[in-house]
Amino acid sequence: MIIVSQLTKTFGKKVQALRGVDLEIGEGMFGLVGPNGAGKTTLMRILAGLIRPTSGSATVLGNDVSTRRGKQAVKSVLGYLPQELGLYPDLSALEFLEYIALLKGVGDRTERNRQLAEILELVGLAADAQRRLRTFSGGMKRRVGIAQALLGEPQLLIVDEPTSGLDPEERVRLRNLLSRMAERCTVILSTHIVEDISQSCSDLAVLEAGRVIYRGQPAGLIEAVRGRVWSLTTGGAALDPRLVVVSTLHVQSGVQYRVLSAAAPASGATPLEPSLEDGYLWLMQQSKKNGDGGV
Amino acid sequence: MTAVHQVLAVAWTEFRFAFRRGAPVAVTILTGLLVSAGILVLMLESLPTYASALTFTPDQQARWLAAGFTLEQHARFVTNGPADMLVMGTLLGGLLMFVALLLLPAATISALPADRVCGVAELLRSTPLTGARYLAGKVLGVLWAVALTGMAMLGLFFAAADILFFSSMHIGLSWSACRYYLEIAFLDGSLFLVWGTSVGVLLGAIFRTRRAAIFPGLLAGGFSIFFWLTAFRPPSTDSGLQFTDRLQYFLVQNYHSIIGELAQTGGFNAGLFGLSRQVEFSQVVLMYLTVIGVLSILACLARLWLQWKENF
Repeated sequence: MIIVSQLTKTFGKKVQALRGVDLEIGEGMFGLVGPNGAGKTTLMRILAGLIRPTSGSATVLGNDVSTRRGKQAVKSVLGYLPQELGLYPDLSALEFLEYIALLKGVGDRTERNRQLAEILELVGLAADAQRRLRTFSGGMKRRVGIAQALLGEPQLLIVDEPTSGLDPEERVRLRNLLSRMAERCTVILSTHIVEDISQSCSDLAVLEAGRVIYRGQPAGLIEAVRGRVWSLTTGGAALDPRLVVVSTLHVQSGVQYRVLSAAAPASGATPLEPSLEDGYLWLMQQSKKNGDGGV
Repeated sequence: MTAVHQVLAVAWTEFRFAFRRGAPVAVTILTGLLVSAGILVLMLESLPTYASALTFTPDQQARWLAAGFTLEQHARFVTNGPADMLVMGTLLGGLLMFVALLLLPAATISALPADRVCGVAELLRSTPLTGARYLAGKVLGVLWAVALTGMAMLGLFFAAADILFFSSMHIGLSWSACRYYLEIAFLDGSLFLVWGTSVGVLLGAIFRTRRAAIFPGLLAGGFSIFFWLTAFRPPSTDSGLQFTDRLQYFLVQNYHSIIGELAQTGGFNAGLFGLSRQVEFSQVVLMYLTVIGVLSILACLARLWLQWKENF
């Protein structure tokens, strides 16, 4: 269980990344979604014990991450994939993973080899394990990142924007892998790609400007926008700028829009089944309208 | 046990990088070549004179005995004399060890910034590795690479000296000279390497990029020489050795030289070779303790910096 209470983080004197975040995260896969600069990475880094909060508290599996002992305790059960993953280009994947395994305290050679073989197979890198990391594609590097996070059999897995820069096939593979991991440990998935959340998380929080503006199930977010998603086809005429346009498709009869609106935006608009992305965009718009970040 | 595994893992990885990135190894090779060349070139100058002295005519023998020397001493002089001269050349050649003090900090200062540039630093900080173990591993890894290169250079020096001796006089380097060089390399030379390497690696804690670290590394090298000369000047300055360190002075004092013995028999005060002043062993220990103490303070400061700036 992870409990975050009134957490704030300020960088310098002006940048307030987190503004009193309250969260409780249970087992399974938890999604943290929000636009760029919402404070997701800052929250993740605090939970991982990498940075200190300015105020408030964060307890991870019973350990207070603001204390040195608590921080070390969290790190001993943590698997972490940072947003900007760096690797040693001169090492092979196997050398790098072995290094991280030793740092995570997997000292027994037999156990280390077992974990390395199992994880390399799991991420589909067994055949490339001896290759230098400089020769890896972006997707393969990301998989090395996932592999290192899984070493040491972590109880908590924090993955920050794991699918950014991946092709669709790699993204699906990674989501499935994380879902499998969620069966045996808590997984916190941070992303600004709503589709990643909708496909894998049963529980989520939406962060915007350092505040939690939604906390609940994806279904709740979808329900919030039900009856407000419309399909509208125009012959090229400009749309009302107040409408939130989710997608635009050029068809033979003109331009087909998927828009969000509390009422039918025009005669001829037809209601559509809402998606999580619709719910997310609606939430963002409402948050901006209210101006205080709360919905 | 985990702590040992972690330190060794960091050290082993850094050891490999020291060879792949090259700077620490290159500086050690450069220093080794300079010191070896400095000693051997001085020796080369004296060899022809010495070789001509090997011809021992009946007239020369009579004068030798009349001066109070024995034939047994002459035999030992023929065997050990060149080595003695080589050792004396060390006093000047040893000054070139200061190149290590000057350049090693700049060569090793990028060990920590390199992790930040690669983007691996955050990943490492997410593991149970502590800042102290990280620093210890980094210092050990670079030291390991530098020490190994230094030993290779010592082997090269022995080989070159032996070839020089055999080619000119058909005798090898005496065991007493070999032992002296082993002592001076491990007890004295290694101290230079430990200092230069540790100062560089630890100072690297405060820099984010390699480029930003290079100039401060050179400044640290300059400061190292200043520190060394200030702290470790030998007690005796009448022999013109004020630029050597206390340990080298101690080692030379305790080198049992046939030339020293001959000089004593001939009533000549050789200054260094055990005939005038002695360096006390406690002063050498104090020198070691000073180096360990200063490096420990630097390590603590680097540790606190990592804790403060990176929560490591």
